[in-house]
Amino acid sequence: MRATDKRYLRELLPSMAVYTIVMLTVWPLVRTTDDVMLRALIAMAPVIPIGFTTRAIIRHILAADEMMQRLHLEALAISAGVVGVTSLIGGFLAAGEVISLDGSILFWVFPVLAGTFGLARSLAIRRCDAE
Amino acid sequence: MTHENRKMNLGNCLAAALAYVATTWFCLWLLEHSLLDAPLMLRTLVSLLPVVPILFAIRAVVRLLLAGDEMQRRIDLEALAIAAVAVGLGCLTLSLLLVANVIALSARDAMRWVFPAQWIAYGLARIWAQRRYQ
Repeated sequence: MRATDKRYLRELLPSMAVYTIVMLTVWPLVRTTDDVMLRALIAMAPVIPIGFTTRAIIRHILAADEMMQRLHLEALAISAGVVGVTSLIGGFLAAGEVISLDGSILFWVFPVLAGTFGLARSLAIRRCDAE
Repeated sequence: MTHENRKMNLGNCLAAALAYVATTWFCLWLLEHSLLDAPLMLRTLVSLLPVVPILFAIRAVVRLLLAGDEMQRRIDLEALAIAAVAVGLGCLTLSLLLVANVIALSARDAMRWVFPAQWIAYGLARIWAQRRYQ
């Protein structure tokens, strides 16, 4: 395993572990408080470890060679396009009262972005290998 | 890319954006007035109509990106990546605040703003990336 891969795992795994702990222990407290400011702070707590996870991923991408960086950036751009258009379709269908959703659907934007990125990255790497 | 080609691509982007605004306004007006009790299939079709100019806009922008030189392409891809991550994290934060009943937002507004937010974030990230490389 390369030194950059080791660093990636060293940064990624603790932030994911902290995210899980925060979601299981801190986030449920949101229902027990009436103070809006405190509720907002507790609600946003999981964003901090997710921020560190994102930082680890970005550092890993920036440490890769020119070709891999290009593939990562292309995959992210594709996933952004797919998520953007899908959200727009969902928004219009909700506006037309064809489907009924609530605002918490926004929770799915980040996971879908990550999933589409993974898929687009695999396809880009496969395409690159075939060439 | 020649100056004429770039101008043409920018013109296509602008035309697609204007078509999107006009189609959205018209379709929402139809859905709230004339098609209020229309069959579901018709409402679905009208709801999805604004996606057509958006796809043309994306096509024009992708052409513009691909026609740029290596450095411009890199700047655009970096800006797109930053915008994707920023909007993704923003959506996550908003959704957590929504579930905690700190803010109230309908799905209609929330989802309709994801795409424009990506474009705004892309514009800002592009200015930053361009400056960084200069």
